[in-house]
Amino acid sequence: MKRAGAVFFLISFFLILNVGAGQADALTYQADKLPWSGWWWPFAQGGLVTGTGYNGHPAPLEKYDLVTSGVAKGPATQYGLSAYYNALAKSWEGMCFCWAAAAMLEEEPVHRGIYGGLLFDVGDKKGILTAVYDGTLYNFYPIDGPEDFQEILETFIGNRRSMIMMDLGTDGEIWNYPVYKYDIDYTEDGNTRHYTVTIYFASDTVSPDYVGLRESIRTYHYYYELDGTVITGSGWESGSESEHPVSAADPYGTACTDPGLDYSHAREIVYTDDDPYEPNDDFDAAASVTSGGYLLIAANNDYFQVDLRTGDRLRIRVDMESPGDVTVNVYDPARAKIGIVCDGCTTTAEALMAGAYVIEVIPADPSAEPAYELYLEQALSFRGVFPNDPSGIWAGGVTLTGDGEALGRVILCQTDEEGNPERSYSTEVEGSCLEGLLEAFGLTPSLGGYIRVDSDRPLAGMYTTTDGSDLLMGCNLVPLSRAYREIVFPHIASVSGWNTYFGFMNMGDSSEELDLVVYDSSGGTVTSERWVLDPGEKVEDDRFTGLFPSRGASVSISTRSGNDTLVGYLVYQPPLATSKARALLAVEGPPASELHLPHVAATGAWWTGISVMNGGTGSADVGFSAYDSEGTLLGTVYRTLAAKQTLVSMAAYLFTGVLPERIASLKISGGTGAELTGLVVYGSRDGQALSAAPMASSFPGTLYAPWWYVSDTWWEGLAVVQRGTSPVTVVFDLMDDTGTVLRRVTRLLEPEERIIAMAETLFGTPVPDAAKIVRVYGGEAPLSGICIFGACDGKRLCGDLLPGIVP
Amino acid sequence: MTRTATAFFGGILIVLIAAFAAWGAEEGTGPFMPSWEPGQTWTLRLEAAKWESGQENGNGTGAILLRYRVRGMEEAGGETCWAVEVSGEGAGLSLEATLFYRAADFSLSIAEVTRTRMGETGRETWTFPREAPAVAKFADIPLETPVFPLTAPSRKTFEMERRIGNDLAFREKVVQSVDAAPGNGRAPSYEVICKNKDGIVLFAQRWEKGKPWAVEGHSGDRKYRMEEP
Repeated sequence: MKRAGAVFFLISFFLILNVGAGQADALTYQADKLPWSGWWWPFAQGGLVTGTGYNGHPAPLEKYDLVTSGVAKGPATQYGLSAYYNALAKSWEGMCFCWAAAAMLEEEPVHRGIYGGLLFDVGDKKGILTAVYDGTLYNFYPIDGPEDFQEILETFIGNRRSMIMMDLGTDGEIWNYPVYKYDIDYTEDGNTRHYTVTIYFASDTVSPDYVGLRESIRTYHYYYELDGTVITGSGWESGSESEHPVSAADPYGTACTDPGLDYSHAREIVYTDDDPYEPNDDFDAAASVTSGGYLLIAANNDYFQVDLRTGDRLRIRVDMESPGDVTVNVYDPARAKIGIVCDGCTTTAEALMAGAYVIEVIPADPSAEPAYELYLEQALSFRGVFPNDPSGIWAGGVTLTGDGEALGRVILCQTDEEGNPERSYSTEVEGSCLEGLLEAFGLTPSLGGYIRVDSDRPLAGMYTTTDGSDLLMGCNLVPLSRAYREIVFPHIASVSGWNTYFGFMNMGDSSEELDLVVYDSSGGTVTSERWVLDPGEKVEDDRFTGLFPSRGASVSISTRSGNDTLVGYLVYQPPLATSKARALLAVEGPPASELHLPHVAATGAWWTGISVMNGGTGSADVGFSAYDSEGTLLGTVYRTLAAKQTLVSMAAYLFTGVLPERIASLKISGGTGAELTGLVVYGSRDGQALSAAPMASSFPGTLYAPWWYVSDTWWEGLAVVQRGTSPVTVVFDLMDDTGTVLRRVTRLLEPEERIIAMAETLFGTPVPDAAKIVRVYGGEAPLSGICIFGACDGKRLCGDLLPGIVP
Repeated sequence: MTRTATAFFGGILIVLIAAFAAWGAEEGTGPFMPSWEPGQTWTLRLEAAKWESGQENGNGTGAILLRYRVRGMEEAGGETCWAVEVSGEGAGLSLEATLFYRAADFSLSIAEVTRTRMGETGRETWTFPREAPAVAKFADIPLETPVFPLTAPSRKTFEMERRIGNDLAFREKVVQSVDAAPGNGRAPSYEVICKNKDGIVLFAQRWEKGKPWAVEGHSGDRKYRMEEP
């Protein structure tokens, strides 16, 4: 046994000696900082600008453009389309270099974030960083042999303890990765050392939203021929002959190549986490909000509060990425739970007490950072709507006025086409009017929806939009009390290059089934369609979509339920080749048996077109009476309009033998029970100016012109007809925004007499700077009025009936 | 002509020849070494490689301005050296360096480079032997220095050593060739090219009389040129 033990000892001794002489211990070196994994954004997909392979549109650079330039195809994306997207690119071509540089130099984005109202996922953020590093400044090192490879690893990872980028591609392909660690080991065979080196690098074949470091490894083999400690020869071996690193790069910064990307702004976006209302993690830290749509992230509990007064209503809707992502509870000011809101549902909280109503949002899995949309709509005692809020390069201005008292709370809420509240402006108005550009209220750009107006008192108002040079259009505020079960578009202009847009919306609290019927000029049905509109949803159509039948002349839309929920609008657009003008008018209900048109302009410079539709189920003999400015009847003509038939004519053409210039106003009567709807269009004969307004019955009360457009560059004209049966003194008050009367003018008007004047002529010059509103009243006498204003350059025109205050 | 006159004019001719020879050595392409004074400054525009995905060849340039200032004579590594401070920044990289050139022959002795990248600072020190061109391809600033004086034309071979691993060295022969560069109306200048045994250019520079440092050069993908004051 002793002998056997000695043999075992000797064998072991020589084995140890042999290993000790031929092989060193494997060593591992690692950088102090580690890279992050990300996607390499192949050019063939162009995911940075197309979203292909990721979340579709908006793609990461489109999101960047949306929040920096307002449009998805902004400068960053435009450049990206040419540089980062090539459907014919080789399958391996992409952004690996830029990603690798970003992963080495920038902190990893690990959270979703809301910036500029847009959700930026981790993949969006990593994509933007990748694009920012197109323009990486770097030092380049070719790897011409194992000595270079080892020297680079030792210099950067071993000594500096920093990462180094390596191109590990083979067969001419380029695959760059951030290498952060390596193991090195060798064996000796005579004068030759055989090395085995394993490098560790971040993978770029993960989902763009991947968070963290997914490790990839690759092992290389090479040898050195030695003369003592001097390398006299070297080479790759054991499979590494054709597959070994090609080059290395040491990135140290970027001079971003995409001219649409700004490094600082990109970082601001990338490192914005969660949503802008944080920290709002408990009741006491609840964020104060008002009507609007909020894109949010529930990385933890969120709390919001809305201050309500007794009688207010708060509609709450939550859209989740997946049902159950968050639980939403509603609490009253006493912190009693009064409701829950499920995904896609709307809950209305009635304010039985004044105070802060709290919405509590609890995520099911905070680590998933679920995004959700919270829509809040605060309803006050009065609600009206400006039905057309066009998207695009428009500037909008709002004027609102009450009945002379302080307006109190006013909420302007801009919606999207689906009626979802997007953003709002809330204020308490001590005066009797509110005016301003939407931009000043923080309400632009528009999403192509409409504007809801809520207030404590009934309002009249107007919303005008302009492109700033050629286009101007606007219409009055439509009180919801004027929403009706059937609205009629009496004239769809579609000949000689004219186009007509028409829009309609369901202002009710429930979905409505609608019948849309298109009639020909004789009142015959051309086509009919069934529509379903969700609460608040808006639809816009136009003659150019190809859906509207060519014989269509008019349209009616009605609710099957009979609920009075419909409001609409028309936009007329003359031939683009000759005019840039547009005219907008609101369409509301109900129809009337008698319509009044307080102003006819039929001169060498102006034309007036009218359209009257018999909306009833039977034919109607409709009388058209023309009056001169003194109220003298110039003539009456009768037209029999079949059910749903529309008369479209130049106003002056109806009355043969009457000088067009003498016609001042019209009265259109269909007899008892008639259901007439009409509109008027004014145009300049040079085609540059166009305006439209609905026809209505005269109003038995005070009328308002809630806007004042008199300046060096704008003119405003007023026309008022007294529709009573005996002479009446009509009072014109020019008021400031507190309701104080600055100037008062009175006129004794005979029945059907019309007064027409430029505003400054009526009130005398110079007009006070504080002038804001014109009020017109004639006691109990019904009045009909219209106000038209225009730019002195003749290019822009807009107007509407003088509205009364309707609850 | 008397002998005296011949001797006189012959003397003048010799003096003139000597003067022209001296002028040629001073103003032509004879042995050249840079000349520095404390406080002297210059600026080098360093154009590093810039990755541009949209470009066919995928490369553009991005510039960093490196400001050089001669601090004065100091002892470093047991030798009297010119101490030159270098600083520069751009695109996320900040560089500070002190370079020690041996006063006797302007060979680079020690380079201490501090680099700050994205808030992280690293410091490295390189040392260089006197008898070979200085090459430090992993340095962020161009440290390459030829062996002075420069004489055109000339061709010298040096042996350089790269350390690999903890115990190995890789020796390679480096050839420094110097040629007179076309003046193009400017002061005489020297084209210096250092290549390894495979003919790969380790660095190339153009030195110009009257200028304190190479007026232009490149190593790898990195190019630089001296900014006009």
